[in-house]
Amino acid sequence: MKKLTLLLLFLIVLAGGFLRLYNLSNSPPSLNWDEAALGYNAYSISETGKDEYRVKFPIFTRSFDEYKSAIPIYLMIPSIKIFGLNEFGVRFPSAIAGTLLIIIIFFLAKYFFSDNKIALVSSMLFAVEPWTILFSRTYHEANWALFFLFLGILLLLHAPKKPALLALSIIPLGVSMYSYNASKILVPLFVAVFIYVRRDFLKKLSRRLKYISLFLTLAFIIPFIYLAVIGQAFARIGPTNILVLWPKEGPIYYRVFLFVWDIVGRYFSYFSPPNLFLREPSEPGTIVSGNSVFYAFEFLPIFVGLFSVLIRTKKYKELSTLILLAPIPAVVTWNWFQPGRVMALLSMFSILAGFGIVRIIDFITNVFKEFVTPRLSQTVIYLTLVIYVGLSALYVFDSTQVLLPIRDNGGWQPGFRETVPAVMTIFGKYQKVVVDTPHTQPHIFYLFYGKYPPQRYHQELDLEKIGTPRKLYDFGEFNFRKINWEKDKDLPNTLFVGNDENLPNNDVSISTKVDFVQDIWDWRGFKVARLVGTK
Amino acid sequence: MRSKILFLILGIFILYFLPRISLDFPITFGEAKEAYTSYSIVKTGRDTNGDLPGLFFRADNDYLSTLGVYFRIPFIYILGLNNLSVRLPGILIGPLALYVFYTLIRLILPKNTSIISTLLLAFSPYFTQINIFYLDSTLALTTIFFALLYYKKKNTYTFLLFCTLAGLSSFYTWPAVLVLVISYYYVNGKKKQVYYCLTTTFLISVVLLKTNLQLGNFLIRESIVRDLLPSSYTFEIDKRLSFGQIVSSPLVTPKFNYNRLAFNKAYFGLTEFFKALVRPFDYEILTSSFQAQTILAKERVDSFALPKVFFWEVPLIFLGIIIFLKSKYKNLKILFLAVAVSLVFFKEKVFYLALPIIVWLNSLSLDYILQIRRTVIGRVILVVLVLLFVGSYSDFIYRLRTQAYSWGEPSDVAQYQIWNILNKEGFDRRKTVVTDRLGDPAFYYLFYNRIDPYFFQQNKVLSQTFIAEKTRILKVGEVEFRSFKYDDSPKGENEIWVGLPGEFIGKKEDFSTIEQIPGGQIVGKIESVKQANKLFGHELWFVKPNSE
Repeated sequence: MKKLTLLLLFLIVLAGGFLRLYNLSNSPPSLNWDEAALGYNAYSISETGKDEYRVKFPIFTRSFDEYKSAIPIYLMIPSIKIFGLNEFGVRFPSAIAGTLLIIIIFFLAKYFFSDNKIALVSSMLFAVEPWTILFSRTYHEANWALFFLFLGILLLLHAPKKPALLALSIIPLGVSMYSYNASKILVPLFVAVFIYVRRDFLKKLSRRLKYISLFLTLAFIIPFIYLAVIGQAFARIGPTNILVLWPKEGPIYYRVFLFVWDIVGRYFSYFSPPNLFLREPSEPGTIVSGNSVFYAFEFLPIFVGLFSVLIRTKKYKELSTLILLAPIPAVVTWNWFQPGRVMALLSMFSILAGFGIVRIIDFITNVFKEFVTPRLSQTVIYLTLVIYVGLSALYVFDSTQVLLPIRDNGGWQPGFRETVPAVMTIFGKYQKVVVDTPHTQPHIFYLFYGKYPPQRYHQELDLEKIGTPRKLYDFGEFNFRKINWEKDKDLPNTLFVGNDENLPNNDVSISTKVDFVQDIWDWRGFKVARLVGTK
Repeated sequence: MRSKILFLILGIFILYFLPRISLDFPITFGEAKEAYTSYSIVKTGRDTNGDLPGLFFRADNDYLSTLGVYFRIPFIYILGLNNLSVRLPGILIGPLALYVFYTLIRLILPKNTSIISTLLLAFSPYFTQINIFYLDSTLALTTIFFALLYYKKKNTYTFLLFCTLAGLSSFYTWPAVLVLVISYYYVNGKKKQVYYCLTTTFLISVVLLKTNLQLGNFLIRESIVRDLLPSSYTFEIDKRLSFGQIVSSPLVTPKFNYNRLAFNKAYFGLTEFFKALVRPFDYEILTSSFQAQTILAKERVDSFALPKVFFWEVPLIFLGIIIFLKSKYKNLKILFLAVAVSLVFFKEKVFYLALPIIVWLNSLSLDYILQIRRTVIGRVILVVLVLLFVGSYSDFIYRLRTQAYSWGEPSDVAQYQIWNILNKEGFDRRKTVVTDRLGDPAFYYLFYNRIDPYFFQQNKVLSQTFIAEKTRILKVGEVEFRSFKYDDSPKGENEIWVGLPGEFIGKKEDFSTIEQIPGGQIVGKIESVKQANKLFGHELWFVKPNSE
C-alpha cells in the first residue's frame, strides 16, 4: 500500500475515532436500559464470575428475559476494570470497535473493488455517517457483532488465496453469531452461499484444514443448537417476530395476501431512499437526532454503486449476496424499519457510496477531459468532496454533542444518573427505600449507578419471588412501586424517591413525621426526583 | 383463435373500465378550480378573474392546466358542471394514451414486451387514479407519448407541436420537454438549434418572470427553487446555532463559532438540494405499504391510501433496472433523463412522468420471467405473480370503490360532505360561514353550488395580503370562508356556521359528548374528519346561532 494511502487512512480513522470517543460520557445523555444491564452484568462477572442472576460465566444472560449475548459483556470487562463502572467504561469498547470497523471497511472495499481510492472514500464515509457514529457511541451488541462479522468475512474472502484463513475466519463468524440476533440468521445464510459459490475452492482444501474447519464449526454450532433448544439463543425472536402482524380478520387468502405485503414491504423498506436519507428513525436510540441514517448526498452514489454491482453479480458475488441477504434478519421482526438490525446492509451501502462516488467522479472527469485535464478536475472534485464531508461531520458532531442531549434526553431514561448516587449516599439511614418511577425495569439503574456490590445483590435476589418472566424488581431495601402518599407517609423510617405529584410539597413541608431530604436536578435544570424520608 | 382474441380484448376492456364505471368521488381541489374556470368560460366567455381565455389560467394564484381547462369546455357545455363532465375527458383520453404508448414502444421494444408494458400501464393503479382525478397529468402523459413518437419518427414540427401541448397540459412537464427538445436537435446533429433552444428558453423565462410575477412566484413555489431559498432553512440554522450557545457547544469558542462552518446557508442549500433528489422516491408512499413510518407500532397499522405501485412490482422494478442497464436500451435513456430532470425540478408532483419508465422496467422483468417460464422457478414465479396481481388489483378496486372517505384527500372529503349537507338539508340561511381550517373552501363552494360566474365576479372579496403565499377568496356574496372564534364573532339570525368543535367552544381533548353549545344550536355534524390539530376535534359542526 502506498504511504499516502496509509496516511489518509490514518487521518480518517483519527477523525472517526474522535467523533466516536469525544465526550462519550455525556452524549447520549445517559445510559439506556440495555447499556446499564450489560454494564452491570460485566461488573458482576468481573467481581464474582457470575451474572446478575447468579449464573456462572454465561453464554447468554437472562437480563430482561430476552437473553442477551454475553460476549459483548466479556468484551466490556477490561474497560470497566480500567475506567470504572460508569458511562465511559461501558461505551468505550463499542467506540473502539466502531473505530476499528473503519479499517475493516477499508479492507473490505479494497477486496471488492481492488482500488485504494474506493476503499478510502468508503472508509471516509463510514467514519462520519450518522448511523455508525450513534451505534459506536452507545454500547450496542450489534456493533461488536458487526465487527466480528466483517472480520470473519474479510478472512473468508481472502481464504481462496491463503487457505489457512478459512479456519481462522470461523472464529470471528462464530463469535458474531453468538453476539447479536441479526448475526444468528445472517452468518449461516452467508456462509451457506459462500460454500455454494466457492465449492471448487473448498474441494481443493487439504484434509487437515477441512477437519480443523469442521471441528471449529461444530464447536460453535453444537452449543448454539443446545442453547436454542433450551430457549436462550432465540429468546428475543419470541416477542419481536413478524407473526404478531398476522391479520386477525378476513378470508384466509386475503390474510395471506396482506401478510405477504407486510413482509415484502419490510424487505424493501431497507432500500427506501426516504428511510435511508431523509427520515429520522422514530425508535429512540437508533439514530443521531436531526439526522437520517445516511447523508442525503449519498443517495446518488449509493444508487449508482448498487446497480453497478447488481448488474455484475458474477464479478461481485459476495458483495451482492451480502446486500441481498442482509435485510432478512430484520424482515422476520415486526418493526417496520430498524437500522440496528441491518447494520451489515448499511455498511455495504457505505462501501457502495464510495464506489458510486468514484465512478461518478470518473464519469465527470471523462466528460470534461477536453476542457480540463483529468488530474486537475479529479483533484478539485475530491477536495470539494472532502470539504463537504468534513462539514457534514461537523454537522453530525453538533448533533451528537448539542441536539441529542437537548432534544432527545427523554429517550435515554433520564434522571437515574443524578438520582441514584444521591439515594445511595443516604439509603443506609433508612429501613426501606420506595422508588416510584415511570420507567420499567428501574432496578438495573440502581444497581449500575449505585455500583451495588454484586455479591450482596446475589444474596438478596429471590429468583422464585421475581418470577419468570420477571415481574418484580425489588432487591434488598429497595422497593419499586407506586407511592400512595396518603397511606405511605405513615411507614416508619422509609426513604421515598418520587416527584412533586406523589410527594406533594405542602404535605411534605408541614408534616412533623416527614423529613424533606432534597430535590434532584439534572444538568438542564429540570427537576428529576424528590427524596423524602419518614422518621 | 379469433374468439380467443375477442375474449382477451373483452377481458381487458372490462378490467380497464371496472374502476372507472362510476365517477362520483369527492371532487379534488385542482378539479374544482379547473372545472369552474371552464364553466366560467362557457357561461361568460371569460375566466374566473374576468380575463379573456389565453395561454394561462390562474385561480387563487395557482396556475391551472391550460389544456385541462380547454378540454373540459365542451363536456361542461353539454353535460353541465358535475363530476361526470369533469372526469369524462380523462377517461376518454386514457385509451388514446394507451394506444400511443403501445405504438411508441413497439418502435423500441420487442412485441411481447410492448404488449406487457401496455397491459401493465392499463392496469396500473397510478394510471387509473391519474385518469380519473388528474386530467392535466393524463394529458401531459399522452402528449409526451406523442412527442416521443414523433421524436423517434424525426417529424420535427409534429414533435414540437406535441411538446408545446405537453407544456400546456402541465407546467411540471416543462423541464422534461426542454430536455426532449434539446436532445432531439443534439441527436439529429443540429447543434445550432440546441443553442437557439437554450437561448430562447432563457429569454422566455426572463420575460415571463419579469412580466408575469405571479407566474414566476407560482413556479418558484412549486419547484425545488423554493427549497433552496434561504427562507426554507434559516429558522433551522438559527435554532441549531442558538442551541450551541445555550449548552456551550465545544464548537463555540470565544474567538470563533466553528458551528458556523456547517450551519450556514451554503451548506444547508446544498444539502436541501440533495434532499430534494431523494423525495420523489418514497417507496412506502408509492406502494401504500402498511405501517410505513410507524416502526413503534406493534399492532397492524393499515394504510388507507391508494397504492400508486403494487408492492410486488418493486422487486420487478429492481430487476428491470438491472436488465435495462445490462441490455443498454439507448432509446429509453432520453426519457430517463427527461423524467429525472423534471423530478429534480418539480419533485414528487411530477412523479407521474416516471410511470412509463416503471411500466417498462416491470415489463422487462416480466419478459425475462416469461423467457424462463418452462423452468420450475419460472413457473412458480409466474403463478405467484398472477395470484398477487389478482389479489392486489381486486384489493385496489375494492378500496377505490368503497373507501373514498378513507383514501380521499381530507379537505376534498370534508368539503364534499359540507356542501352535500348544506345543499341537501336546505337550511334556511341568510349567511354562511365555513371554516378554512380544512383547506380553502371557495372553489369547492363554487363547484358544488354551480354559482353563476357573473355573480361570482361581482360578489367576490379577495384577501388584500397573501395567506399561505396566495391571494385567497374570503367571501362570495353572503358565504364567508374563514376560521373563527364563535364566541367572539358577531352573529345574526338565519345564519349557518360550519367549523371544527374547537372553533365553537375552544380547544379540548374530547368533544364527543357535547350536544349543546352556548349561543347556538348544533343542527348537523360530520364525524371522523381528518385534520392535524386534535385539540380542535375531529368533527365538523353545523351551528345555527340563537336568536337574541
